[in-house]
Amino acid sequence: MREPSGQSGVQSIDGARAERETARLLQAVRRGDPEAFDRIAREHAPRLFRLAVRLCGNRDEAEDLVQDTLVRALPALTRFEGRARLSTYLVRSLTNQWKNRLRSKSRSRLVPWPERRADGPDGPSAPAEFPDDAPSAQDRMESSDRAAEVRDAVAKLEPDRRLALLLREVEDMSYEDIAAMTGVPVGTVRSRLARARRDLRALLGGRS
Amino acid sequence: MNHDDLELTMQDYLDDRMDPAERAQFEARMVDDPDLAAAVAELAEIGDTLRATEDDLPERFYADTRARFEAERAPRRIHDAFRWESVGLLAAALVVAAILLPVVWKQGLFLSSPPEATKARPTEALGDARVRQDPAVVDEIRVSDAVDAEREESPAAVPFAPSPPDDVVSDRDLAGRKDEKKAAPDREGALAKEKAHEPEPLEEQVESEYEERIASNVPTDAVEPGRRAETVPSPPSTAGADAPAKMSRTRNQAVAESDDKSDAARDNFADAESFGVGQSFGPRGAAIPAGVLPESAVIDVPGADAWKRWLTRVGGLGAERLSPRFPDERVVLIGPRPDPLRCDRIVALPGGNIGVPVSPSEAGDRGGCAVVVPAGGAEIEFLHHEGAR
Repeated sequence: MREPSGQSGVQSIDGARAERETARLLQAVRRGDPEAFDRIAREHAPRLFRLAVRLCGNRDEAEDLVQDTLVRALPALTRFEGRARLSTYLVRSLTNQWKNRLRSKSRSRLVPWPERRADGPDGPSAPAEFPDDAPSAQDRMESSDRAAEVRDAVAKLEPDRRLALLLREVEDMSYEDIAAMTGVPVGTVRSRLARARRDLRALLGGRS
Repeated sequence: MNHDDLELTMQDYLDDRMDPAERAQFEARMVDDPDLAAAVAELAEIGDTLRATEDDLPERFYADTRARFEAERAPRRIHDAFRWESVGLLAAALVVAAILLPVVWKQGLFLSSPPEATKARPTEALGDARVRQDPAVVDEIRVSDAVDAEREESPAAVPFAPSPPDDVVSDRDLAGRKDEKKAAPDREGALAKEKAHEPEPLEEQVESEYEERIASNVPTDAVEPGRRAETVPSPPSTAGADAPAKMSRTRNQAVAESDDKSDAARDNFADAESFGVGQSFGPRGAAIPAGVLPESAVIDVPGADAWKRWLTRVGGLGAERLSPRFPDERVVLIGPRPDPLRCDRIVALPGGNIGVPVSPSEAGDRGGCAVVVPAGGAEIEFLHHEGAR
C-alpha cells in the first residue's frame, strides 16, 4: 500500500507549496503587483461568479460584484491563514458587498426620475420600465431552459433566504459554516433554508 | 406533523442531517406517500440544477478587473512612495542640521542683528520722495497700506473662494482687470480696487453666472416650466472647464465644423458621435453619486446590453433609473476625474444645446454621471465649477 501513501505525501508537498505560493502572491498584491492580483483573481473568480450570478440574478451585476470583491478584498487581506480560509474570506466579502448593494438600492431613490415617458413625438406616455433584480426578458429568451427558470425563481427569494440557500447548494457549506458567515444561529439557518426551499417550490409551480 | 415540520424534515433528509434510523423511517414514509416523494425529488432536482449550471467568466472580465486594480492601487503606491521619501528627507534634514548647528553657533551668526535697511517697509522706502512731492499720494499709499495691514491681520476675513486653475481665466476676470486699469487713483478708487480683488462669495458668483446664462441665452420655451429651479442645485460655471469638458468642447467644435460636408469633417463628426457628443440630451438625466468609471471622458454606449453592463459597473446605483430605448436613445457616461464628480440634472442651453452641471463631490470614490440622450445634433456642454466642494 505504498502507492496511496506516496501520493498523499506528494499531495501534501504540493499543498504546502501552493500555500506558500498563495501567501507570496497575496504579499505581492498588497504591494500593488497586478500580475499577482491577476493570478489570484483567475483562481477564485469562477467560484465567486457562480455564487454571484445566482445571488444577483443577472450576469452583468454579478461580474461587477465579483470585480468589486476582488479589487477591494484582496489588497485588504493582511493575514494569510491558508487557501481554504482565503476562499471563505472572499465568499464572505462577496456576500457582504451584495448585502451592501441591496441596502444601497433600497436607499437609492435620491435622484428624481420621471415616472412616465413619452413614446414619441405624438405617441402616448408609457410607464418607465426599470429593470429589477430578475433577469431581463431578453436574458430569459436567450436561456429559456430549466436552469434559467430556477435562477429566476431564486432571484425572487427574500435575500437572507436566498443567501442561505445558495451558500448551502452552490457553495456546499455546512449549516454551521453558513451560520458563522451570516452571523446567525444554526437554527435560523435551518429555518431560512427550509423557507427558501418552500418558496422556491411554490415559485416553480410545485406543491407549497 | 405540521407543514413547517415536514419542510424541515425533508430538508434534513436532503442535507444528510438525519441519523440512520430517522433516515430509514423517512424513506419508508416516502414509499407510502408519493406526493412527499415527489416534493423531495423536486427539491433535490432544484439543488442539482443550481449546482450544475455553468457560468463562465469572459476573458475581458479579467482584463477589466486587473485594470481596475492597477488604477485603484496607483494613487496608494504614489502615496506610499511619497511618505517614505518624506521620512528620508526629514531624516537627512535633521542630520544636516545637527552637523551645521554647532558651526553656526560658534560663529555667532544667531547674535548678529539684521541690517537696518531690511527693516524698512518697502512702501516707506519707495514713497519718501513721492510723499514730499504730492500730498495726495500720501493718502493713496495710506489707504493701500491700511488695506494690506487689514489683510495681514485678519486673513480669515477674506471670504473663501476657490482659485481657478492658472491657465483658465474667465471673461469676468478679464473684464474686472480692464476696469481696474481704468480706475482713478483716488481713495475711493483704491478701496474699490481692493474690493474688486476680493472674490465674490462662491454661491453668489455661481448663481449670478447661472442666472446670466439663463437670462441672456436660454429661450423661454427651451426649459420646461418649473424646471429651472430644480436644475440649479450644483454650482455651474463656464470658467473652470476641466479635462473632460475640454475634450467634449474640442469634439463639439469638430461637430460644428462638420457643416462644410467635407470628408474630413464627416470623419470628425463620426468620431464625435461615437463618443456621444453632438447629440442632444432628452428631458432626463441621472446622477450616479460615486463609482469607478472607465478611463474615458465621455462614452456613448450604443447597445442595450452594453449600457446595462457599463452602468452596473459604473456605480451599481442608478442603472435602474435609465431606460433608454435603442436606437432612438443612447446613454452617455461622463467621467472619470481624479476627484469625485457629481452631475446634477441637465439643463437646456441656447440653440437646443444641453448643459450638464458638474461639480466635485464629497463621495469617497471617483464618480461620474450617466444621461440618456436621444439621437440628435445638439451639443453637450459641461457647466463645471472646479473649486466647488
